[in-house]
Amino acid sequence: MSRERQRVIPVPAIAHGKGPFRIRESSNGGGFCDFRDKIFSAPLRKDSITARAVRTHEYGHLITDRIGLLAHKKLMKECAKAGIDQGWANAAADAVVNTFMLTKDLGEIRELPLCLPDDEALAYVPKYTLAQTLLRTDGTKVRMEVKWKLRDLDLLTYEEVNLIDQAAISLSELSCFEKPIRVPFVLTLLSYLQTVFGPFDQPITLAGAGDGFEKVPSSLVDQGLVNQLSSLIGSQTFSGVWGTMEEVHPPLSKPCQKALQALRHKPGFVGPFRFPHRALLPSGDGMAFAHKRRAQGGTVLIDMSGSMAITESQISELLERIPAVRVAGYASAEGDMTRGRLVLLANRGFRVNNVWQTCCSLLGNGNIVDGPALQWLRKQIRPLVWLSDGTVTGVDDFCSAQLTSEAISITRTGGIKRVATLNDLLGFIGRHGRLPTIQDLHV
Amino acid sequence: MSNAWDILNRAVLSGRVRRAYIWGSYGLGKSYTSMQLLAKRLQSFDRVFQVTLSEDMVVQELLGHYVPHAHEFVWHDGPVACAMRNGGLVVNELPRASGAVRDLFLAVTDDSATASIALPTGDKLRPHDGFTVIATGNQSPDQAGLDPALLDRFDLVLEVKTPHPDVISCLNKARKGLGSAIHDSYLDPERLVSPRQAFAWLRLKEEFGESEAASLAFGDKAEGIMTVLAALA
Repeated sequence: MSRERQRVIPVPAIAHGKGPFRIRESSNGGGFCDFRDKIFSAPLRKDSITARAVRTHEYGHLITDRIGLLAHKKLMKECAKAGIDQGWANAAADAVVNTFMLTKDLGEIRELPLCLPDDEALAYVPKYTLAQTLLRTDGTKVRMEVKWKLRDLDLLTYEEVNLIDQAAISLSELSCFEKPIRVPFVLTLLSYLQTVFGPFDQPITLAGAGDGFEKVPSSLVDQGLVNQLSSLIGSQTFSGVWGTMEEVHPPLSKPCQKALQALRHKPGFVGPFRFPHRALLPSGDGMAFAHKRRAQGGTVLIDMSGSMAITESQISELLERIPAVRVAGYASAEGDMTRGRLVLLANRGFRVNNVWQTCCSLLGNGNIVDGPALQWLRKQIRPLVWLSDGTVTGVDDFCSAQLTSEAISITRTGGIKRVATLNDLLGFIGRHGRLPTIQDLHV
Repeated sequence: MSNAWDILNRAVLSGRVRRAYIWGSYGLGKSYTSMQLLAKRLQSFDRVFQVTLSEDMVVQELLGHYVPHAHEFVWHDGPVACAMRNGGLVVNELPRASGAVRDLFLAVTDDSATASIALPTGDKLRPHDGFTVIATGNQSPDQAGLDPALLDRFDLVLEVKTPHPDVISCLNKARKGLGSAIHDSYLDPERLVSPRQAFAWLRLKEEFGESEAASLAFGDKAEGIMTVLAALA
């Protein structure tokens, strides 16, 4: 059979309703469509199942654009304006196309191939690329294989894979109805994904020692928040608003002696002149100068809503172990689900006289202001610890994907470490003698 | 309705155009539409004559010739002569005609006031009132190399780019989206699919099933066409 007879003749003009198209035979098994320059590229072999799958997929792009299911050009343009990586837009479009073609009983879509690099090279692929790859395999046979590989190699966490699944489900549900998918909805979804996976504003530097590459750092995104984001995307609860936050600074009148002792200036031979009575020899020892002791510090922000309760002894223990720590609690304002308060409870060895009474009088039962509280936290002295169960809410104590996404962004860019309970925190401090940072994966 | 088809429709039915040359790709329905329009205009299909020209065709086949009858030779009008006396004429594949035939059409398409062809019988053949001739071809006048004098005689030279809307509707009724697919294929002339192939598929699928019939009727374009039909169903 001649070479020409072994190849199909593609008909992109029929799929798109516009033409003419330039046809390019793909040599690497992949395919693409360029709507603007009218190029259709795909493998053309008749006897290959994967080649047929790729052609069907590319026809899908032309058809979904034609019927207005997903306005490709508008999506790309809006993504560029919103600073969303084009890879996310392409991955979302691929997921929509796959689902749409499957609803039309074009099962050859399932045979779409995927060429992943080998396991060793995969570790150097940016996380967002892996996530985009997983999203675009929606509807294909290789999806499970890709999912398990990324999990087994610990390149994506269970929560992250679940998030991509939820996003794919959201897109799939819309693809089945054949009504135009609103571009703003897709943009919102993609912005959440980019918040979790990147690419982030800070470029990832690949130059390093050895073979010239270094591993891309593992995710610093809070997985509990990722989990919450998944379920909110699944329930399509998107919008939300933070409450307004008020800072309250009650008197820190109760000293913690051990903490103060640790913070006290230590006599020495250098530093400011502080102990004149020791200056004269031989009666004194000459150590008339002082230097500050190096003491562990940082900031702990406690979500005081609902079940989170903190005792006097726990605060004291925290101060004793981390003498220079600053501790604040936040929750809704008493009896008001539109506002919240952040109350400074302790700072550098001093704390409020009665923690429980202070919190009861100033704070209510809702979260409301997790976002503003986290914004306050990121401006404090590091390390930054957020004591919370990972549920964030806004006005009316309402959970939403938007608020959760913002919390993820703040914690990631602020280097804030979330710890679930005070006991976990104290346990870590007991083992390591310091507050945990975002790099400490297990607390 | 496509603008070109609408123009042809209105021009011929109004009687304002007596000589037209329509050109475009194959399978668009040029010949069929021309026949239908002339039949409507003359109110009788029997009065419409159609000829398809080729390089080997001679003038006598078109104009007429003597045939033996009993002990004598009797003049027998050809389709062109019949049409000029009392009908309409559709001439297909005008660019394929030989030089002599093209010269004949210089006289056929001449202005009715002056058109006249001398027959061997001694008669002068003149076009009747209302005589209309529509010529069709696959090539533009330049590509066809038509004599400027011949080209000048046509009241209307029209390019049609897509199949007749009635063809599209008919195909869409037979199978949803088929007509539209055929129409859209003409947007990419290198990969167009003729309505004839579509009608062939409709007939063959009764015997062979859709998929196999598509391979038989559409050849290497079958996969793309069937994918689009399934997706747009």
